[in-house]
Amino acid sequence: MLKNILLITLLTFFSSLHAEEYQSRDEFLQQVFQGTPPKPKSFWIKKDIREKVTNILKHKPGFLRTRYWQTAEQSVWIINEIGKIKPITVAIVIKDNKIDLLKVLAFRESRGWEVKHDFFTDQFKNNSLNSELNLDQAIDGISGATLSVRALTKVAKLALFFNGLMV
Amino acid sequence: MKSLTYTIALLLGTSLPAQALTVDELAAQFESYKKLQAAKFEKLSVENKNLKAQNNTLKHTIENTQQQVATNTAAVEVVSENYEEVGKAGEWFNNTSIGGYGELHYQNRSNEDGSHKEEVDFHRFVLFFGHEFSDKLRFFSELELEHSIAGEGKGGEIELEQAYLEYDFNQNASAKAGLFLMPVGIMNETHEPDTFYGVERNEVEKNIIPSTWWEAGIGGTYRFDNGLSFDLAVTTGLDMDDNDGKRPYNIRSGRGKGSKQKANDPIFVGRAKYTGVPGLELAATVLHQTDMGQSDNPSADSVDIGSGTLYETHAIYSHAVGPGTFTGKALYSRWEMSIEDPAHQSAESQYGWYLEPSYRLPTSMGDMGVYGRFQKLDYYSGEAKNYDIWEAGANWWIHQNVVLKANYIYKEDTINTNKDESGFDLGIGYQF
Repeated sequence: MLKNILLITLLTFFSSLHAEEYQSRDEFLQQVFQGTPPKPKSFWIKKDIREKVTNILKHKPGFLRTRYWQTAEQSVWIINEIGKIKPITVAIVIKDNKIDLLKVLAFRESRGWEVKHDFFTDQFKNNSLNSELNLDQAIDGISGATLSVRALTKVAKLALFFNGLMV
Repeated sequence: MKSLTYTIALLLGTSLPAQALTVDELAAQFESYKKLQAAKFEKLSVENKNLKAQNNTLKHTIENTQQQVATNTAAVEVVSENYEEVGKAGEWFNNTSIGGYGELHYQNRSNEDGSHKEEVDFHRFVLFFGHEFSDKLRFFSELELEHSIAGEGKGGEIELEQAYLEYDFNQNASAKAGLFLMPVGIMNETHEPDTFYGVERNEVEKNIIPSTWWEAGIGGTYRFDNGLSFDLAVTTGLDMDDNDGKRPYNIRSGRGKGSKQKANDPIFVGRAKYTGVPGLELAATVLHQTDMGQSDNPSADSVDIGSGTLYETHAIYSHAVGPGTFTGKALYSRWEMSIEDPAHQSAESQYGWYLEPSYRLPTSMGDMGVYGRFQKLDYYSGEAKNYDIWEAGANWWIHQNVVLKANYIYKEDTINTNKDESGFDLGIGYQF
């Protein structure tokens, strides 16, 4: 009897929920640039920086170029990186060579979902890149989400590295 | 007249001749000059015309080049998009993932009773297979070969530890059905060798929880945006009657592993977990089974056991200290069971806890970590087993997913005298 009640409760609970959408790239850009985002540009992973990109990612980059949006005040980078199995889409806003905002636009992994919330991503604010291509402020991890944390840290470093080359 | 001659001479840019020219001569000279200028003009006109033609040609060439550059740029964008899309969609294999982990152990242990063991064991070789049917529906599986060789009379086993379908209702809620890991403890769901210290997994979770523990069933997870999450599941249960009289009332031996497993009495399990502060995890699980002996269909040598409840709670805290990261782990777990058999009353309550501080330091040769661990263990396997286990060691991550391990262990038997065990372990582990 108890078993049946629990089953019905579970099914009712989940069937009552409706799918939500992640924040889209366009919505994010509209928000960051207050309705008037600049035209996107492409940053190509040329041969001369490929090794450094590989060092940051700890693997060869799976893309040839990445999109960015730049004004005099800030630049926005949207980069995908795999956590354990699926790519996590991350947007990074950089001002004065420091991260102003890091936001997970899409998270597709089964584990490590905590990294998409503000209580984790707020740690990246005001972080910059040191000469050894590491973040200058430590990021506290999440137990059971090591690979997702690692993916976000790599993406943050990569955006700061790319941005540094644009200055 | 003379002044006119001077004037013409000046106009023609010639010096005044020594002898004055006549008007006719001057006129002839002027005509000649006019023809010369006309010829030069004609030549310049032709050159100008040619230059204009060349200019038009160049202009067209530049326009064509610009058009070609635009076309090429568009083509490169398309190629780049396609290159990057290859890993995201398309054929079935692009949505299928393979991963795995493995660990090789060396144990050197001596017991106070005089026995000694030196052993090498490829303890676990695991392959993950996953497939994403859609953005919301996925399959995940874990196939494990334990102790290298499986088969009749061999020490190893092939086990299907996970095989479930998972559906996302939204980014906060998901449900799964199939064979999955029970939501309890620190290591039960995350046990890749590069994620923990010590060559062997800790004995508290192994003997009390008992990790690795998987069952067949259905479950759901809801995650709040503040870092709080809840898991609920209904699964198959333990069968303490299914051990052929060996190790009676031993929890670990009660696992059915989804292999022709009795399903008379299920487990109801719920977990609350909080990870709302970076570096912090607090979790508690309660799990209940009404009949731990699955006695709706009792065997001849049935054990006399009723309901059982597992309580487990743990805390993990990691924080950057100096150049590295300090992590502290603490776990407590306890089974309370109803056992009528007067000869095995001490099996009613089985528990264990451990504390594990560690420090991980990044270096140019990879991360290095040291740890200590104390485990208090009180469980049952035909008789009471009580241990205090002291352990210390180090991990060296030569790659972020590859680890070398070493540890010293002292296992004090707090019931029997002259049964303490000590020694060291070495190991390598990886995941991909």
